[in-house]
Amino acid sequence: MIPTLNKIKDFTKGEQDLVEFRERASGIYAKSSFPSKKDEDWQFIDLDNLQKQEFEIASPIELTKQDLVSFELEECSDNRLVFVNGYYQAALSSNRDKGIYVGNFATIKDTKRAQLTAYLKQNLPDLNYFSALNQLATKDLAIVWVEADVEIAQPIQLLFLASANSEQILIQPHIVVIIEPRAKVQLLESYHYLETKQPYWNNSFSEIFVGENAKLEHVLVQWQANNAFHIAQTTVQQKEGSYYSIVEVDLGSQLCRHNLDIIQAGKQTDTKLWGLALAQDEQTIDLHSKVDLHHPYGTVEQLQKCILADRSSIVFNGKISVPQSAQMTNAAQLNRNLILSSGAKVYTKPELEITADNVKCAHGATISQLEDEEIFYLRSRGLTLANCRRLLLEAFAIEIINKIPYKSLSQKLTNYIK
Amino acid sequence: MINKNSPVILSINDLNASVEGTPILKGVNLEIKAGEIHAIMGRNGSGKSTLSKIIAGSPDYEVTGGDIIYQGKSILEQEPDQRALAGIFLAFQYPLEIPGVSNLDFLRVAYNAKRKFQGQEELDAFDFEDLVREKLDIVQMNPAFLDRSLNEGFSGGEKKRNEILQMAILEPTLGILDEIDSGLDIDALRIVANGVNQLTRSDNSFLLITHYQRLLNYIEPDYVHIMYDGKIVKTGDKELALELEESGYDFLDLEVAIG
Repeated sequence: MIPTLNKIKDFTKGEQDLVEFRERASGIYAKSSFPSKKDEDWQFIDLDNLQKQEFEIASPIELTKQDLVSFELEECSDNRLVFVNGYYQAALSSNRDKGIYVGNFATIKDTKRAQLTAYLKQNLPDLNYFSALNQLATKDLAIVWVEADVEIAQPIQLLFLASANSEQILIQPHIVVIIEPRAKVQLLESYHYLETKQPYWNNSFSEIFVGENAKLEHVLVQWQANNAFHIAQTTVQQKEGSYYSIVEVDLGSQLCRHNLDIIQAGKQTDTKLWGLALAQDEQTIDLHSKVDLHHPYGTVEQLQKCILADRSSIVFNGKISVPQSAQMTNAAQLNRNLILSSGAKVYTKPELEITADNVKCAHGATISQLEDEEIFYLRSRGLTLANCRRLLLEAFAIEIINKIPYKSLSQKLTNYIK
Repeated sequence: MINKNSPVILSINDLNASVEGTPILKGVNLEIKAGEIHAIMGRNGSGKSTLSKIIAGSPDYEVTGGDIIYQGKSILEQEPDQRALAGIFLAFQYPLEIPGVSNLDFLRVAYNAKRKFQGQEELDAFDFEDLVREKLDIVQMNPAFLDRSLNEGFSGGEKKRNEILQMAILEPTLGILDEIDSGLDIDALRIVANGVNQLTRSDNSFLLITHYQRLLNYIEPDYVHIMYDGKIVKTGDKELALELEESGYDFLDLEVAIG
């Protein structure tokens, strides 16, 4: 059970500037219903367990710097935004560079606040049931706003922590990232947990705007507790000549669904999507991505790798749409799956929708297992069976992990796989 | 080098093996002493590659009779990695390509597995790189190959040289070379053979599996065995290989028919 609308209204009271923003979402929410397997978009994911849980809106908790140590990215020191159970932690966050704002909505300057609300009103992303639920309950926003021509050497970190010890909670971060023209930024968005005895539900929504000729390198790490539910929507709008890349790593949660929607809203736009998902036990990870091209000379490169063990399942549904207006597109999409157990399931649907006639597009999917011949070869050099498996898993994953520009993080992920 | 007093490294007694119920080996007998180089020749399908894989512990075959004694102990129950750590090395006819595993890292993992087994301290990345660079000369290999993925995109010759490099680093007691000459041009063959010759010592031994006599011009065997329908039917010295080269394998059909 989701908290009632009255409870949500109580929760959001006091933040007047977001009223309109919320109201649009409540209209959509009222008209939609909790997805079921009958909906084509949700046919391979079982949401029953999520639906029957009782969730309360999370209350604020205070953390110390010490609690954060293992989640802070070494490579980032100047600009960090920390939210715990959906609440902004001013004392743990920092914003040192000029020309960028890394902070929350409640404490933003009035002029910026007006600009931001106008911005959000002009750019309305499609909402589904869950992103509408997120938006109608928005009380605060996590904001990254980079002014035109600003280049920052160190990555910005958005850290979302969950801790559910006494009751089952719903956490709904809403993120807005605005990269103005010609700015160049690296961003790490990561989801982690502290000690957590109860299942919790993270329902997050990220809106990302990449301006003309701007560049955003995004890394997204979902490392929730293994009893958590993680549902997320990311929408990206890319203007002419911009570059957006994402390296997404999904490890945690019992049930994870991520919708990644990208709109190329100008010509000569580059999009790169690299993903690694690791599922074990009874985990379900469901990844839906959609890239809409509308202009000529766009490029899309997508590689999603998945490793499945035990009785886990992974869904990959990647759609790239290339209409008549998107001539000279160059798009390649590949989904590779490595299945380690006979009880695991992969549902893959690479999808290209092309009506333009002068384009270069490719897509495909592979499903494989560790080959006996490979294992024999490695064992004949003295490696134990367990070591061979580790080596081969790492070999499969490394292609994606190597795309992460932060050594400390890629090392941590490599160790996890081992 | 034959020395009657050398200890026996490998002794195969009446070995029978099958794959998916089809018998491949039908009573193989073979004894190899320290310091010796043996060659097994035979037609395709005679069972010679199968024999090499069974010694290394391939799970593809079922041993249905007989025994393999290595340094005095039966190894039939041992896993491939236990056999490798005990000093058995198989250079593959078709070395596998493993994308994502760097050649250097793989060599180090394998080398350190052996060090650990022998109760020695593992080498760190720097010390190991020094060791590898020394060994590269044995097969005249370009150091650039160390940074590439294991065998990925290597030519046939490069793969075989990489096998010999692995062997040089692991220093086996029994090196088995399964058609190490296949797919090699004459220059590559010379380099590979020269590499093997640098690794022979009085306390190790080699078993060469080959189809052609050509290899034996470069690596001189002490014994040549001819395998036919899952058995060793003839044993001699290197002259036997020359005879075979001249007459072809057909005479065997006749000899076997006559009995």
